[in-house]
Amino acid sequence: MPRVPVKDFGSDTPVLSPLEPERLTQLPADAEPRAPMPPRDAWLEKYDFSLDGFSALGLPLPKTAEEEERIVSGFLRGLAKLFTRENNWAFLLPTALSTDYCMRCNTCNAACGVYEASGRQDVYRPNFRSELLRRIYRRYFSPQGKLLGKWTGAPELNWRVVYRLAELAYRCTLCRRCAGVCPVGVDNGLLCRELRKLFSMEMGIAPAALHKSGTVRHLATGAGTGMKPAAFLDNLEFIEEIIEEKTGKRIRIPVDKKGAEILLVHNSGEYLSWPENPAAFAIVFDAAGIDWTLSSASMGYEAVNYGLWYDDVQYARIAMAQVEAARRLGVKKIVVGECGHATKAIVTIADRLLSGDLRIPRESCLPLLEEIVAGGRVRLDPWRNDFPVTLHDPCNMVRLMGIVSPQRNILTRILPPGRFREMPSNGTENYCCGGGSGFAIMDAYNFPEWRNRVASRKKAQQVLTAFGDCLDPSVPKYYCAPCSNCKGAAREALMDCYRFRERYNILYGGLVELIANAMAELPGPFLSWETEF
Amino acid sequence: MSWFFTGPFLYAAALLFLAGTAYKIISISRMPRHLRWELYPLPRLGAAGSRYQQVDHGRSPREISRLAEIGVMAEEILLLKKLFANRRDLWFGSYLLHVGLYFSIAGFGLVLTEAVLVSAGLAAAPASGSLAARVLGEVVIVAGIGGSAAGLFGAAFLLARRLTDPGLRDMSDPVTFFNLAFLVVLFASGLLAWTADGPLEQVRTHMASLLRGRPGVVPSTSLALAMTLSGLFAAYLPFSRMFHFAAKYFFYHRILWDDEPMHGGTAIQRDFAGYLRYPLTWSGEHLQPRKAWSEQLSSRDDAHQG
Repeated sequence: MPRVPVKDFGSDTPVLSPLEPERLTQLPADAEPRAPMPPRDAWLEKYDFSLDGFSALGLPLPKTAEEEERIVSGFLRGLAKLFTRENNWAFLLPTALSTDYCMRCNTCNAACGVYEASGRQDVYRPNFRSELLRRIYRRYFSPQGKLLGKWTGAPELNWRVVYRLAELAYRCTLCRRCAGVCPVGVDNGLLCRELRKLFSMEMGIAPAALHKSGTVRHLATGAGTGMKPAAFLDNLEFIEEIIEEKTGKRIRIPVDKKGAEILLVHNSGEYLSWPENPAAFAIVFDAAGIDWTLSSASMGYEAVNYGLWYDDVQYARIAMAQVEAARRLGVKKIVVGECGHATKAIVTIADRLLSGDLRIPRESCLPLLEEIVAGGRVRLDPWRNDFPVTLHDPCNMVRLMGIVSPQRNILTRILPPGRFREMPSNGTENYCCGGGSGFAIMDAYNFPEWRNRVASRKKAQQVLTAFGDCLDPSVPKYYCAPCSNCKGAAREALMDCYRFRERYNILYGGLVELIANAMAELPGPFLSWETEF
Repeated sequence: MSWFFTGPFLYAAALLFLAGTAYKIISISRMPRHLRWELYPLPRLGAAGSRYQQVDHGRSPREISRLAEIGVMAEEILLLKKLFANRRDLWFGSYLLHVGLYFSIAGFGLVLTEAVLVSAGLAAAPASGSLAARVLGEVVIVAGIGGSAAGLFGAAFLLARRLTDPGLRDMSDPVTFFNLAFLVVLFASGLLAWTADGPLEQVRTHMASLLRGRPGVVPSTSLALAMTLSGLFAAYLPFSRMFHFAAKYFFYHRILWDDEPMHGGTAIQRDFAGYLRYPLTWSGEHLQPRKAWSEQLSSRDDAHQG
């Protein structure tokens, strides 16, 4: 097995650690997709693929020594700022502690879904990029480093180190499973995010899907998808028509209802890709008599906050604007739909940024759905969900917010006995879907090839294990992922790449759709394995 | 020379340890509060582990179980539970190393206490033959020798693993090897000193002389070496990554388990209002250089240009 020592990270080998498909962990033969496509020649001429043969960022190759020097000096400038109070008060303590106190025991390695799925390739160790960060920081910014020089173990800093490190910051899903097992409490996920932040906030390096067509578009148009208020209202009209077709009942989805008890905010991608999810919310809330509304104001109908994954300022701009939209509507609280990162972004991470009249209560939809189901506020017939179901735990809501039992309590009430099966490693020990930290929407260059085959591989294995006794396609099965990005990863990886739908008849979707499907008052099933919503 | 290293040098080392520890803890404590970054379940929230599983979580009283939290901390400190659960192959060596350190520190603490009490006339010297003094003397010997033996075995095991396991070797920087080698030598010197001073009489005598401010000469070269190395270790400890024993408190209580919500009129609110006044100097094109955070956050129009 070729090894990649940290000190050799800047070597001039064309591809430092090529992904070796034969080393990827085993899947059943019929589930294995074709080998990943190599990068196109036209890309190789222009962009850097030297980490592992993939690119998430499309970093243009430097053409002159001056350009190379600019890359290195920009990185060092950013690294210094990362450890200053003024520039990084938001995460200085966790960054400093995780930089200083790692004992290099590698306990984090076995916890990492990416490292394990890759067949344990060195560069994907969760502490590999952190170790690079530590050694470079120590070498260039500490008195010992000035004294010890290369004896710090840092690689010779050149543009390749910087570019590879930037790419490597996008080979971790920020699921923080590694932090949960660290005996000291070191958080490699955090350090990875800090690296992303350095690259974005100092050098303007970030995946286009997260920045240019992510947060920048979000702030400009009011939604990460670019959906403007008029288009949003059109979508609602479409959803109302579909609901009528499905249920025979015309539900008027409340919009901009001043002073409502609940402002429900979805990931706007739901309206475009999975309209059945906001439709199911409308059906369930209507039947339960909830006092709720959606907002059609810019920033008010979009829950996502991609800044969470790479840039503190973009993150805070969006979070504050979203809560401001709720404040203007005078709602009593904000409830975030089935979107993990959006829930965490606004409920916990934004908490200390919000003061005065922006202190509006904010919570996940899962406890509310549990209250509706367990409180008998809708009439349910579990036998309408008479098919095997497994549950994915979105990292952001489960490990990072502790929401574990509501979704399980719901499933036990809306499924017949024996139909719910846990995946191996569930709850706060879950594995990421592979779409975390923006991966689900990052489709540039050949990055999706890596994401689907490596980052989502563990989830593919888990789903196959959970349905191990009924993989035959004659048995319809449901992979329940109550998170938009996790559904995005399911669509791209499990369905398109691994072809779980064709091979095993596995349907994927959210949790509220299953609740709607169990509602006794609906004339027929809400879910369908045959037709799209 | 021996007098210098077992006398003035030990005073300086003790001073460095205390000053270094204080400096590190104060530096960490003074770092700004950060945005929340917990990892669940939170032990002090008991079986539920999280407030976010409830509707209107902000309205429910926060029931805190300090006992549950202490239980988790005790498991970690005394048993290294996470390492046991997740890295069993390193646990045995690491556990011996930690037990070795705990015992050695306990032995040192007992000798120090004994010397203080004897100097103050509050206790009989171990040589007096009193039962309490004899028992204490035996406990000190067991702690010191047992600690050194366990520590030596544990540190040597970890060093050997690190040299032979390619994954550990590749991820280890020179300082990692230095620290383990230092611990091996330190514990070995402790055992060596015991061969020269089985009942630890010389240790007691020297400790008393240090406390009186008139350090004598340590007759045994091996004991002098062990004392010198212990001084070096103490002086180095707060500035090394082995200070994780103290940093761990902040990792857990200030980061991973810190779900303290913002409330109006609290220190958290005042602190954050202050942080938002900091000017930031990041150079990204989507940012406004040298403007305060609060201005950056209200400048959405500028962000559109990024």
